[in-house]
Amino acid sequence: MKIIRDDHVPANSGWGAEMKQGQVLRLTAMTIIDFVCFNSHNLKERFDQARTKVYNMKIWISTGDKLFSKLNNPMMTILEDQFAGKGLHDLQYGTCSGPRFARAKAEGRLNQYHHGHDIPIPDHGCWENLQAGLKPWNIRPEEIPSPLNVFQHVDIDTATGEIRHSPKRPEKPICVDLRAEMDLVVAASACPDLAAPKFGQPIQATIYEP
Amino acid sequence: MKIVREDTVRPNTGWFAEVSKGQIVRIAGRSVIDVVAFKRGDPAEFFDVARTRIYNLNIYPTKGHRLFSKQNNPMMRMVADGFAGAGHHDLQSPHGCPQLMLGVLKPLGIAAENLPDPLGLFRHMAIEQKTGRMTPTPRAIAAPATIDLEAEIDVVVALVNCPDAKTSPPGADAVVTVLAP
Repeated sequence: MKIIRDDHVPANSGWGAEMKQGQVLRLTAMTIIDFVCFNSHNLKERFDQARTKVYNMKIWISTGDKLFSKLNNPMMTILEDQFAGKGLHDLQYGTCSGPRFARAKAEGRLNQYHHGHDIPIPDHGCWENLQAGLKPWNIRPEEIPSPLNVFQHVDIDTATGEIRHSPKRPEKPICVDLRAEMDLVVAASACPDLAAPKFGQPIQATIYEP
Repeated sequence: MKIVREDTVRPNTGWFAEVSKGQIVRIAGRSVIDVVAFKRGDPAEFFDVARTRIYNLNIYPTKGHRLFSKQNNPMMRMVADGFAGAGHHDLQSPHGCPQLMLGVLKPLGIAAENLPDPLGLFRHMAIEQKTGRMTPTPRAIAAPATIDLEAEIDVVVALVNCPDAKTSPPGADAVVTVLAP
């Protein structure tokens, strides 16, 4: 395989890149990655959680499943999922953000969303990180779709609908490979991941030609 | 409360209104009704299913839950849910009738790619615990159930009565009432 680019993304920061149809994005991490993508020829065509769930007819996706756009086109295919069997990726959460942390703190609910009242609260999160990663493409904040939250294992009781954060994450950095089904702008945030045992860690983003 | 307006929304038609803070949108229906909301005067702030799920820490919206915007602000609160016990409302699916909704939203000029995903009232979606598999499972109810949404800010609310044999009991008229305190 031919490496096109290989980037280290520090904890609680963002990354963006262009990739061609057929190329593969490898995301490697042991904490949450918020991931979004856009059609590089029409940046208004974005990844969409709802279309993705309904196309695959399930709320959790893994190897072989496709990421869909709001305009109903396949954007990416999951080629490999090393988290499979250990945990699930999330399609329920939006992005964390400075204002979101502040609201949870003000309402005394940090423990419901994260794992403790006495944890340090960052002034920014994935929403700001994705804005930074997408800066070269002039994407407005409200145009950033709700992401595929890689390695964000969440416990959902499908009888009651209850969502509970979980500290379940990869024990060491593992990867998810996503093949581009169209030319794309891709962006990822190394989530501050306040529910992970040691909080958010750096991630590696690699684009290669198979 | 005082009735500000009351409209019958027939299957495959929609409804659009400006609703002021403190007013209640009462929706009485039996078939799937997709609802979206925008901050009045700023359509770039819109109802967001993901923020709503996570603020409430629940994937099935019901009485007491708040509808949140993309910008993380409360927009509306569900203060009555007459469907509770019969089935769940849906926050997973895209619009059943996107073209109809885009037509209803014409006064705001919302493009297809910016159409927020809806609150799918009466769209009961069975979700398997182990696999996450989603199966639309229409829940027939004998009489129309009433959902009350109280505006927490000045909003624009749009809805479409969007019955579909796969997702919904047979289409029924919905009655939408705006109530002022």
